[in-house]
Amino acid sequence: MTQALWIAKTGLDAQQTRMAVISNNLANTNTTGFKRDRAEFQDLLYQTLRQPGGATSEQTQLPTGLSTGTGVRVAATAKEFSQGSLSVTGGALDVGIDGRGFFEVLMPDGSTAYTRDGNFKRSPQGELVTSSGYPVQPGIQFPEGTQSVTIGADGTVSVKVQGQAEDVQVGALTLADFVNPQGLQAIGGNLFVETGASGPAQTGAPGTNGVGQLAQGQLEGSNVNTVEELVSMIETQRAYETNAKAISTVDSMLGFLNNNL
Amino acid sequence: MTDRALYIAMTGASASLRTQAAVSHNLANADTVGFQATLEGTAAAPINGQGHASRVAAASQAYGVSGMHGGIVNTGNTLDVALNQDRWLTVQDPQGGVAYTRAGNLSMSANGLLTSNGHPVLGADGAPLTVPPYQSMDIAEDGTISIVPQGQPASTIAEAGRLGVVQARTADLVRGDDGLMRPANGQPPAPATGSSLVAGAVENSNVEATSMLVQMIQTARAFEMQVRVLQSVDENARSANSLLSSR
Repeated sequence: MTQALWIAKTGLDAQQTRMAVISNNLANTNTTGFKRDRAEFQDLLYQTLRQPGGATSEQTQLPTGLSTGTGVRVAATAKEFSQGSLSVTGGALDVGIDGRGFFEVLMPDGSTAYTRDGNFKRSPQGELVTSSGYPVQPGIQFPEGTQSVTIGADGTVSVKVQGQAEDVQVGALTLADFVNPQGLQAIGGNLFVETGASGPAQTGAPGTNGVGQLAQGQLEGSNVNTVEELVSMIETQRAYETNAKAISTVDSMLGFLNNNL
Repeated sequence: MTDRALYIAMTGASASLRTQAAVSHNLANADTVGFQATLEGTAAAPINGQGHASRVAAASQAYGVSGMHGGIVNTGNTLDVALNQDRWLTVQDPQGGVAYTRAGNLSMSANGLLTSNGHPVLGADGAPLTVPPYQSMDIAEDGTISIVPQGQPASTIAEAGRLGVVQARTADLVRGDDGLMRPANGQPPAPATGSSLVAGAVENSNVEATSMLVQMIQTARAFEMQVRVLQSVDENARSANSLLSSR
């Protein structure tokens, strides 16, 4: 059958994937530390039917060839790691990252995951954990009778214990950074895992080596720009419609052929 | 003789179908960064031989790619570059050769290698461009990449290489099967001078959806006309047959 139908189908597929990416971005508008995805399109291979420059006689050459494209595909969904806006929550264990970097989280299977969601809690054992209950690395243990917690911009965690005049330092939060954060794999639950494309994690104190500083009492919102997503949504819909139009046009051409011959 | 008209109209109809494939390809890529529309048409292909020279078939022909500039979209992404008119980014093709592209949505691998759609971007010196770990990055209009290296104060600016940008008219390049452009005459184009690109933006596909839709309708109508010719030729042959068989 004619190629045009299949080419237009690749267009429909790609726009559908893009729509899924946009929907996911919009659904996560209020997710702490969420980073938006962007669908990246790439043209598919070309088929050369006549080679440009091929000889048409001993002296003459084909000035132009004949090659047809075969459509489009979504080559990648790239995460955009621009800063989300920090909003003040006032929670003592809410920590926002202002700049690059990720908190390290110890997963139940012993592996390490990374997150920008600083919505931390205190576990029944007095540990600093994420809202899913996974311990933050390096581990912070709050002593019994902790009255207030102060987290400095450089990650220092100090607590005021009942009956003691002086604040006690109980540890320090570090941040992990990657050469290519876009290569991280999102696994849901606001978590990312390291891949071959991201490079190994380099941990350091907040505010050094280009990683961001911490802001206690603040949370980083998602970096989804709702207006931009809505515009992309309209654009996607229109592109989908033109591809569908191509299918119906080619279909009616073939229908005409079948009915009249 | 009916066969001439029949076969000639057939070449027109199949050329229309091929044009429709090119239109579909362009429409499918209406959102592909840096994509350039395929220009497809037909050429007259006279059939030489004895008798009256009335047989001219239609042959599909690709007239290269459209050199029009696509719309510029600001993304704010450090690694996005939109190229000026007649400027091309140098990349390494899978065979290790040099090819050119306008897809400026660059990405970076774990070891700092810059790529465009998976093809390593070449620097002005012709070698794949690798950027050392950085705190912040800026790409200048001439392709110079300046960074604040990791662990250095913000006042330390280092040059991390320059994007290889060449200057060539679209008409002087041909598109390969992998979608990358190469010089038609085999001569590498001259390196670009002056302002070549805008950082933080990408050039969208230069496909104009409206004109593509119009072309699609026009092609469909042309196809129907060719089918009509096939139909009339068929009727002629049928009436000739019935005249002959009625004797």
